[in-house]
This record gives sequence, structure tokens and C-alpha cells, in this order.
Amino acid sequence: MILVDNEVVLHIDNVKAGYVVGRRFIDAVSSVSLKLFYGEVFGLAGESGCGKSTLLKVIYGYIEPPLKRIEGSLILRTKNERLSLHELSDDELKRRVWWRYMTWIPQGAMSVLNPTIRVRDHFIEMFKLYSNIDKREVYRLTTEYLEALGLSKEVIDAYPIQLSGGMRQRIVIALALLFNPILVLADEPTSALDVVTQKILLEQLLKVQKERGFTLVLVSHDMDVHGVFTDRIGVMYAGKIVEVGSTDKMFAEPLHPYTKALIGSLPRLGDKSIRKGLSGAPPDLADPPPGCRFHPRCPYAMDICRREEPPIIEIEKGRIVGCWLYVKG
Amino acid sequence: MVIPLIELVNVSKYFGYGVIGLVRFPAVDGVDLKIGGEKPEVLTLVGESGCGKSTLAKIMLRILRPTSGVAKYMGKDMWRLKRSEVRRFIRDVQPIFQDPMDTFNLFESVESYLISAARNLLKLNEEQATERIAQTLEFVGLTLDKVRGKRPQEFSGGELQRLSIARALLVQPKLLIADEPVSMLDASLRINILNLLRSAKEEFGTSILYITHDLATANYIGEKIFVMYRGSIVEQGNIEKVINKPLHPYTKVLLDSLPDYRMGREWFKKQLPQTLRTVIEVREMLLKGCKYIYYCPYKTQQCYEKPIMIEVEKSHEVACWMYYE
Repeated sequence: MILVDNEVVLHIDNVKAGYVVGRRFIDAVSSVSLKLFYGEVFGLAGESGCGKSTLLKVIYGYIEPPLKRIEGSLILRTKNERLSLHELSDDELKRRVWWRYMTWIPQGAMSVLNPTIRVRDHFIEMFKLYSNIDKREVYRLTTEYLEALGLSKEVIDAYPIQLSGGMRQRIVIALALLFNPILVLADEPTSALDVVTQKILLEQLLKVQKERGFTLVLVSHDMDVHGVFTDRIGVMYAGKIVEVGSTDKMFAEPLHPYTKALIGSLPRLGDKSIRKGLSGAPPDLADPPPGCRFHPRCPYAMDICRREEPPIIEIEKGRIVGCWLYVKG
Repeated sequence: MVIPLIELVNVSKYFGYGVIGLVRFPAVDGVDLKIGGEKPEVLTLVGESGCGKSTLAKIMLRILRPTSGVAKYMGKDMWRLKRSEVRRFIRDVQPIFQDPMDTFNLFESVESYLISAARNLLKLNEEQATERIAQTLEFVGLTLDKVRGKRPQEFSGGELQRLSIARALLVQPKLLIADEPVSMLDASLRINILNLLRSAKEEFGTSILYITHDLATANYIGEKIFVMYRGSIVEQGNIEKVINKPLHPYTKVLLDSLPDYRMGREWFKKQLPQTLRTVIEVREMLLKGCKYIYYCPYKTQQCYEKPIMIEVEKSHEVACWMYYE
């Protein structure tokens, strides 16, 4: 894959955000810089509470108290304009960016559908709000979109409660893709589904992604899902991105000790050899440890790790890691 | 012949469904199971969400009374035990639940909780109880000093799950029933808890029934596996045999749909033999015959009858008419 700068769809630069709870500030996204490219599937991995969902919210601009963005810039490049998302007001985001250029599928999205109105009415409502095509055309497009995701025509006339979780999740995805966005943010789209349904959903999502060529950001805690589904992965730990790289390389040769532990501790089918996990627990983000945030659990921790925060360095093209082990000199 | 610790004979549990519970569907449907023989072993019960594995666990823990069939403890009906026998049952069979927060009382310190458990069940005096607790805590990698005076909410999820394992092991039970003990924990901590369960077998001679939806972790700690589908056990036996050579069409699908990072995008080339699931699940639950019939590519007329468990090879059984001769 070529990672060229003019192919960047979203440039996240030094974004800092967190939750203000009373006098405490929970540092959930701490100086994150990231570039997302056109047409890629980018996976955001990490444990619960590491800030991956918060990062998605900040990217989308869905910032409601207690969440607060402190600093940083987000630049979205569409075909004919450059939008500085961090400068837009809620109203402008709603009018110009959401649904058209960028959509967000929040966690547990399958329960957002209104159980008392039919599936087709969800679509009609969406079209009413964002475009002015007539009802028959809406019906045709809806059928087309749902069929692309492997749902039959009957589903359109059903009520959401009559459908299974996997089907509802697909309807939400179809809604998100309605206006051909260039960036889709999916937060744990399959975590509530069982493995068989998960496989079917991932298959169809990947097919649609390839056909339409949008950029998909997938947040998941499941490393195996990342391994099969994504092109590139970013690993987050305690509010920071610690490693970014292409999926193959990341799994073949993880660099950061945390990534190593995360991959090394996965049990495999047909392999009963003893695996070791990490000791300790992730830090409290209201009071993160000084220096590298991983050092209390790191088996390779050095003196400098306890004092200073590691710089983010580029080991090779498109492969970055934030760890003192790789700083030379 | 050794009397199994727990034996289920054709056990079913029905739940009401619909507005006033008029539709009754079986969450567990005619399950036969034996646990606890001569040697301690690690058993795993695997199935998707809603297949009835937690209900089955509750039946074995004597929390739920089966609607039909008999759940036996040491050869006797669990629900016709004398008081002293119920006490022994609680000492012998201990649970670990999914959410460690549920195990402990939020208003009581963990230490006093452990002490009262040790005193009530083991009839120890305070000193002996403290000693026993210190030993058990050491096994799970904690110390009494670290625990003293703290309430459950002051521990992290991983520590709390260790504590709930310690609580269960306190009475040195013959069987631990662990219902999804790691699904609430982070990936980097999961393996530690699994290792702990593995060594509990060695250390205390405890059999473990590990209930999960995750085949990879089941394979990691298990020796024997039960695969459950819509309330019935469809395949059981030695875990290596089942995973390397699955017999039931459902087990095959389950194994094929398990993501594996080592395969990368190649994983998507594994085709599932079934079409999309568009059937409402309760209808499947009410089926008299094989519950997999809607998806099964190999179905025949015989599948409308309930399949019986057939031993295909040594310690590998399957409930599928395909293998019936």
C-alpha cells in the first residue's frame, strides 16, 4: 500500500480530549496524531477504557459534556474542499459534514432503531432530512442498499423488533452508508453478535467497503477481528497511540511491548502451550503514571521510561511506535 | 463404578415467552450430562449467546429447578436433599460468575465477606479462617494485607475476578462452575485468569466447568468439550478430537467462523455452508427435532425427530442423524 500524503482523508494532529468530572480531568485522548488514507480499513485496537471510543467521538465532533476537546486539529479532505472540523460549530457539522462526508456507527447501534416504525420509514425519514428525492426513488434505493448488505426485500416492511441483532446491525450500517460518505467510523459493530453472525456481517461490510471505496475506521477489542479485517492498525494504550503499522507487519513483528503482550497472550485453536499475560492493570486516566504510561506493567522498563514520555518515532515508512526501546543514541 | 458428582438426566427448563408467558419454550432441552469422575478434569461448555449455557449452569448450581428431568448430586435428586446434604453440596460445587462485581456485596469489605464464607461453610474459628484465606489469596496472587479493609469497588476488574476465584476455592470444592469468567476482562488480563483456573485443578484437585462462547480460550484450558446449540448438546468429547475433526454441521460452522489473525484476509474465503439467518429464534427453540434443521445443508426427513447421541469414536459423541447407522 502506498501511503502518500495527498491521499490523506483525515489528518488528526495533536488532539487532546477528556472528561471533566468534578475537579478531576480524565485524560482519555492524550496528544493523538494520526493520518487516515483514502479507501483503507483502519483498525483501532486496545483494551476497554483506553480511549478508543472517545477518539472516535472526537473525530466525529460529537462532543457533549463531560467530554471536552482541549486542543488539536482535525482536517478532513474531501474531493473539492478542505474542512477544518475542529473549527466548525455543531450546526455546521450537522449541515455540512455528518452523513454526507462522515458517519459514525456508535456502539450498540442496533438498538437505535425505533421499534414502533417500519424499517423503510427510517430510510424515508433520513432522505427527507438530507435530500429531496421522491418516495418511489427512496424505496428503490433502500432496497438496493439493503440487498448490497445481504438483506432480503421483506426486511424493508418489517418492524425492527422482528429482526435479529445481526440484521438490525446491518440496517444501521445501510443507513450510515446512505449518502456515500468518505469516512465511516464504526465502534465495535460486531461485539454484541455471535461469531457466525459476525463473520457474515464482516464479509458484507468488507465487500461494500471495497465497492464504494470509503475509508472505514473499525474500533474493536478483538485482535483476531483486526487481523482478518483491517489494512492498518493503531494500538492505543491509556489514551495514547503507542504503535501504528500495516496489519501484516504488526502481527508478524510487533514492536511495542504492549502490542507484543496483546498478541502473545491470544490463545490459538490447537495450541495448548502456556501463554503469559501482563501483570497489573491499566492506569487510572485521571492520574496517569509519569513518563511512559505503560512502564508499570512493562517487562522491559528502563530508568528513562519512568521519567520521560517516549517520543513517537517512525521506524520505517508508515510504521510508528512510541517506546524508548527504539530511540537510538 | 464411580458415582458422578453431578449428573443431569434428560433435563429441560422451560421459560414463558410472549405477553403473559403463554408460549413456553425450552431454554434447555433434554440434556444428559455427567461431571466429576475419578480424576479432576477441565470441561468446557461452548455455545453462542442464547443457547442456554447459563441456564444449564444455574441448574447444575441448584439455583434453577429443572422443569422436567432429574438433576442429581452424588446420585441423589438435587432438590430432595437433606439440610446437611445441601451444605455439602454448596461446599462441593462453587460458582464463578461473569461479572465479579456481582459476586461481592458492595457495602461489605471483601475480607469480612471471605471470613464469613470460611466460617459458615467450613466451621472454622476466626484464626483458622484467616489462615485459610491467606493461603487461598496467595494462590491467586494477592495478599491479605492488600485486601484488608477494602471494598469491592476499590479493586480493579482483574483483581476482583481473582478474589472471586479465591472465594470459590476457599472451601476447596470438587467442582468449580465458571460462567464466562473472563469475558468482562481485558485481553491482557484474560490469559492470567485462565492460567489460574488451569493451575487450580493441579493445586486443589478441583474439576472445572468452563462456560464460554469463545472456542479459542476453551481449547486453551479444556480437556473435554460440550458444544451446545439452542438448548441441546450437539457434540461432546475430547477437545482435540472435536476441534480437529468436528462432526456436527453446527460445530463446523462455529469453527469456520472463528476469526484468526494468522489467516488475514484469507479468512473470508472460508465459505459458510449456510444461508442467512432470517428465522426468528423462538420458532427454532420450539422445534421437536434437530434444532439446526433450518440451516443444515445435509438435512433429511429423519431430522424432524430428535437426534440421539451417537459415539462415533472413542470419547467423541455427536447428536446428528448423519452418523446413525
